[in-house]
Amino acid sequence: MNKEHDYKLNNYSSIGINPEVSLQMEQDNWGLLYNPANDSTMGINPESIFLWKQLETGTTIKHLTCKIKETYTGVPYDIEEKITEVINNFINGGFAIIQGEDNTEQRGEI
Amino acid sequence: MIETTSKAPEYILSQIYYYLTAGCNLACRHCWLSPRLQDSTHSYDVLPLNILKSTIEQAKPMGLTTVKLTGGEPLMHPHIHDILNFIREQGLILNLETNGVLCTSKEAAAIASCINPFVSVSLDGATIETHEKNRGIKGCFSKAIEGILNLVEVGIHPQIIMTLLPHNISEIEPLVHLAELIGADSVKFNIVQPTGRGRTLDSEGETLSIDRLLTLGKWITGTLSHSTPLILHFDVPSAFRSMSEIYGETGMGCSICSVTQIMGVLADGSYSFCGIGMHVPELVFGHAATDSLSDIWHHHPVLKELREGINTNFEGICGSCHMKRACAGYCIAQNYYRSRSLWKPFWFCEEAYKNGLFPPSRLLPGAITAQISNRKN
Ligand code: SF4
Ligand code: SF4
Repeated sequence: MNKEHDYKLNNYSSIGINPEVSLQMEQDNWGLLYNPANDSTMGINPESIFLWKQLETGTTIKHLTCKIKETYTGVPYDIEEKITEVINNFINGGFAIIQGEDNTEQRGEI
Repeated sequence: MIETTSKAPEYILSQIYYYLTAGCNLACRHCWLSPRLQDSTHSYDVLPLNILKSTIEQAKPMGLTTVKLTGGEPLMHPHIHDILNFIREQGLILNLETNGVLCTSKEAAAIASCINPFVSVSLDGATIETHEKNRGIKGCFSKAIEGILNLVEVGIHPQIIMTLLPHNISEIEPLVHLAELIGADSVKFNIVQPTGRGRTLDSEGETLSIDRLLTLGKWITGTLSHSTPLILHFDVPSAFRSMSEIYGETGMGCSICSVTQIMGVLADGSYSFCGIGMHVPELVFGHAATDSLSDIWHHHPVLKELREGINTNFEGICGSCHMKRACAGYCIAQNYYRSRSLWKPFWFCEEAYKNGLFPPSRLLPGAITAQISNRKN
């Protein structure tokens, strides 16, 4: 997916969904992501669906972490690692893609 | 919390299923293996102890961790105590499927001495009449209950397996309460497979329709399970189970066909996928007295075909199902029995799809519209 640029995932990587992937919601608020390119399916829980929805407009792990902290109470201290793990799963299955580095955000934090 | 259905497969021989006896002490109407009834005047093959030992010794370097003892009826084997001792000495996990009738306190103690024993005992009703109507032998209900109590006495809380039939569904709830009372850990509800005697039952209209089974399943998992501390497991293909039931924190995982990780050894010493070799001669891969397990595992053409095709070759509804990698056609042996192909779909899902009952969210794009038009026709 990222052969041209070969970006590595970090907290400031800009991540988006693979536009070919479809999300199918189920009654228990879990969902299924389907990537037709490799005919693979991933079952995702409601928390991961929340993350997926954020990716639809493109985001970074830093942004996601803030968004989760704003939205939920009792967020675990290692939430950033957990988010990274989920995003890595999305990327490894070809469901999400790294679009580049969000330099603006990085500069802003410096 | 998150699971992918496209993990890379590994072909480690992690488990051997031993069909220890060709005969059985019961005559269950639904039995897919249909062993012959063994009594004081008839007896049939039992797996020689030396074959069991040598296959375990060969399989350990290949990754063997667990041994399943089944039958016929495994506790009928004349060397069952030697077998259990050997399994314990070899440090293997024991999985035992029994009808419970012969499980005296001596057998129970021997089972309990093994590592992490998992025992399932069949009970097809909460009353003598209902259970024995299906199991065909008088007196087997109270003996099975006694067997379960013997297991509980030594600290094993078995799983109860109930096969769902038109005549016993009114006893589902009483059976769950009975299971609680006698110290079981869980109840698993099986559907009749149209193989062996199950095929006859099916052709005589003595099985439940898919529609009825799905309604029962919803009630068991959605309502009945909240009224008991026991784990209730309705055993249907993954497409019919919610994602949270499969992958959630208390989820039970998917029911995947495990033929890529198991080998069956039949009572006559032949190798097969599982017990299916008793019905389908081309699924017998060789004989444990003459063929090396490793040769068969690594080179048998059927196993090679299976491994090469398991990610891509499923046909029909299984090929169009989101769960195919998490389920692998549910039971490839059953699918082969019906169609003589490894890749044909599982009958339950196929029929559900034809009747418009397959969950649309589990269908790949394209198959959804086909199901809708099936339903209209
Ligand atoms: S279902 Fe089990 S107990 Fe019944 S006949 Fe078959 S092998 Fe024997
Ligand atoms: S359609 Fe096939 S792969 Fe899908 S759940 Fe049913 S048996 Fe499993």
